[in-house]
Amino acid sequence: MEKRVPRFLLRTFLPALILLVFRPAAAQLVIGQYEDEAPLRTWNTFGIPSAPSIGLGGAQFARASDSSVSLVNPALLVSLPRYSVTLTGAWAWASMFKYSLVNTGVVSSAGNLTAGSLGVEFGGFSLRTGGWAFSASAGILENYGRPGITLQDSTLTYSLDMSQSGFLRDYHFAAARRIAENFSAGLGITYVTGRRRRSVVETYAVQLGQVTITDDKSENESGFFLNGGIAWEPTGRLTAALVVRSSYIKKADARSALSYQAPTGDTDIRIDASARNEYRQPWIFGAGACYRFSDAWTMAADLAFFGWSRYSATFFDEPLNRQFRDVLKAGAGVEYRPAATIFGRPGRVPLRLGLSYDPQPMAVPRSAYLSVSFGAGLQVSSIAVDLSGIVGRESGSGNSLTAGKVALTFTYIFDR
Amino acid sequence: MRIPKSLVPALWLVVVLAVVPALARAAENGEIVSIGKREFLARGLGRKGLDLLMEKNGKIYIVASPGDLAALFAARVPFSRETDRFFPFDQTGISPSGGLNGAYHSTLELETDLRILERDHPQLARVVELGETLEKRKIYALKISNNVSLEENEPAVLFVGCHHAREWISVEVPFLFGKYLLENYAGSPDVRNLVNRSEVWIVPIVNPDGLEYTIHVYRYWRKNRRFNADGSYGVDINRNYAYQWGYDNVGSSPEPASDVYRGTAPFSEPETDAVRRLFLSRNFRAMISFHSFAQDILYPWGYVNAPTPREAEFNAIAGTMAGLIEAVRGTVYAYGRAAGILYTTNGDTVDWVFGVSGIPGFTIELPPVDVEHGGFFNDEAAIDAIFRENLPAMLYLTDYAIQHPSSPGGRAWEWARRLLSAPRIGFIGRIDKAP
Repeated sequence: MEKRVPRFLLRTFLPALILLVFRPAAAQLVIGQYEDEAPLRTWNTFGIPSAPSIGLGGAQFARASDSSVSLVNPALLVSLPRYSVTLTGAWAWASMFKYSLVNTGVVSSAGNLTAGSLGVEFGGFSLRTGGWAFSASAGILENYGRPGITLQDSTLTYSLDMSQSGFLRDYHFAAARRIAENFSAGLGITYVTGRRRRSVVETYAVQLGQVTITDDKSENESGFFLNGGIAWEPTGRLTAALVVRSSYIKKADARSALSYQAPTGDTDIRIDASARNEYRQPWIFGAGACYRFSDAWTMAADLAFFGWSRYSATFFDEPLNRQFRDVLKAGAGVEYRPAATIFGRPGRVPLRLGLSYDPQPMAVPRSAYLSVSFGAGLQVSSIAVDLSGIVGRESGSGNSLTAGKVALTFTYIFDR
Repeated sequence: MRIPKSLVPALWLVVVLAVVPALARAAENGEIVSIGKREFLARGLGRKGLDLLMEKNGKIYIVASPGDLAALFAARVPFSRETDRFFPFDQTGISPSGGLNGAYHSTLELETDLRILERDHPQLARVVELGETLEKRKIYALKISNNVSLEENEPAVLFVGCHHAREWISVEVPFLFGKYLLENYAGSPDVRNLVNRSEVWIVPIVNPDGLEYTIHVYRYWRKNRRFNADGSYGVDINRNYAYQWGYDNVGSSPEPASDVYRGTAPFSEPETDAVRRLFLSRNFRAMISFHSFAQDILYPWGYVNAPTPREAEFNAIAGTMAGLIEAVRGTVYAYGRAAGILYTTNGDTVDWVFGVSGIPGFTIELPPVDVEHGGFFNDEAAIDAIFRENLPAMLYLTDYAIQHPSSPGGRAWEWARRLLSAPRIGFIGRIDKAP
């Protein structure tokens, strides 16, 4: 006999079930995407892709354009020309909704706010001699800037200023060796150093004077990590690669100064603190492939695993609540590189298109960027100039955040 | 006579060499106290062999041994304790805090220190988890009593702090009271008598989520961290208790973004629910909810400016406590009916405690007195002094609870409490991990 669910149960329990399933979060466990220590745009920073890689959705594990590749897979240095120098400038931006005291209870905004950075992002060179290749580079690995907030009431009796800035710079050296005709391996070491500062200044008028409350927190960060990779060319068309970056602890000498000043009450209260903060960065493992369909057509794809579930942060001697999960980031793109005559010389005009899927590590809310990238360049004689852009939209947080980057890379090749 | 500039460093050296050994003696043996210079001279104290430390701003500072202090008391010489101005807050036996909020406790530091007290005084102290917040932090209580693991139905007194996140000093005073009771149990017959005849319950941080937000993000945050339906954050948990909840929109607000938002329902917040379940589970006879700032001692009603049937009694208790506080170092706390002295508040802790149980409940607004003297800030060095000036009042109220185990209203409340907290009634549970 077929049993039917009584209608009153459907009427009663189904809505209740739906309410339970779709019940809004009771509290904000963590801010999520933009905790204070979160890099702008994405937590998943691995290397500093130059414009050609950005145009391919960030794929660079198995395809080398310039010396920036050694930050992810130094084995590919052996496939670069004998000498190369590369410089990348970039304009990057990201919108955010919840961060610091913005939209977390103190200051609210009507929509997303955007922070950006513009500057030289990477400079490096590579050289190849015999079966060996080497590279050295410096760059900006992470940016910690946030949209600043300035509030002032119309009667000038209250004001609030919030700002956050900072960056992590890297100094990298790598060596690679062609072990066999179609097999190479490489190892790199990177020293990172940077700073981050967050300041909140609040003033308000009292009867005869003014009260100023200042909360200033700053860090000087440093650490180092290793990265390595192998590249294998089973055929003349295919390159496969495996890469790894070690976990490392980003250590930071931190200071905090909290003060309350009310000159009319002869009040000057100050609470100072200092500590050694630590941010345990995750292991990264990746695999990539690059396939050359023809002299003009190439396709590249990367898959990277970020072990964020082991991320931990110690801030002024206390662990921070970060519920992170491991994530897989993927990027792929195609390049069409037709031959062309440029200024009367034979050259190439590469065009690139790519996609990237970049899930963020926080468990709640689950959030990921889906990005599309595009790029174009000129390669003539010893010079290559590439311009690429990547634009992504986030889903999961409910705020439809966006992030993007436009990069211009200039590479000079001494011996093609 | 002008002192040659070249001699100034040498004079400073002499002063330092003279003062440092005296400070060391004070650290070991006694207190540094100050006496008005006029008083000092008029009473001929210079000839009494006191250990003089220095003279500054019309005060004579001395290193007073316990015997000296007794003599000063006996001679009714007015003096002020100044030890705290020379030595940092005593953290003996307590893990050093010194984190982002300096000498004040974070939630983690408090848990650590409560556990240390429990470890060091296993017969007297028990840490009890009252509940869990929205951000999964624990709300802790410290139970202090002889035979702490037994349920003896002794008169209980409740001291709570940090309903409002930014009121950091309100964490320290009840915590230090617990520490004081435990560390002086063996040596002080008075403390032993109180602890043996009562249960002292201390909840230093009712609102840990809010406290952490003030430490990490914004110092002046007040409410808890409820994510409200309109996208704003926080419920004022001192407007979320059931008695006359939402009586009007002046003493609390229905607007989620308001600093005095009362929540969607009475006891909608885990913090107030935790306090409620504790309160219903024990035989509480008095309570103090610490806040800051203003230097006030407030009693019901708060929701309306009208007297309770026990107005005279509560006024007398509050007056006694204010007198005891003032006697320590001259800090004046105003006292009176909450709605009369401060402003109307509905759904607050003290109205609920009195409204449902009839016991005396007080809100003590700790120093400073106003915004120009620090507002919600207190200097770290002032923590111990503020505790010490409130100590006699807390001891007094504990003794009062012992002396007044039950009133006619209290007996009715005791009957109702037992009924309400019985497990067969489903809507009020017992404390999850209470002994």
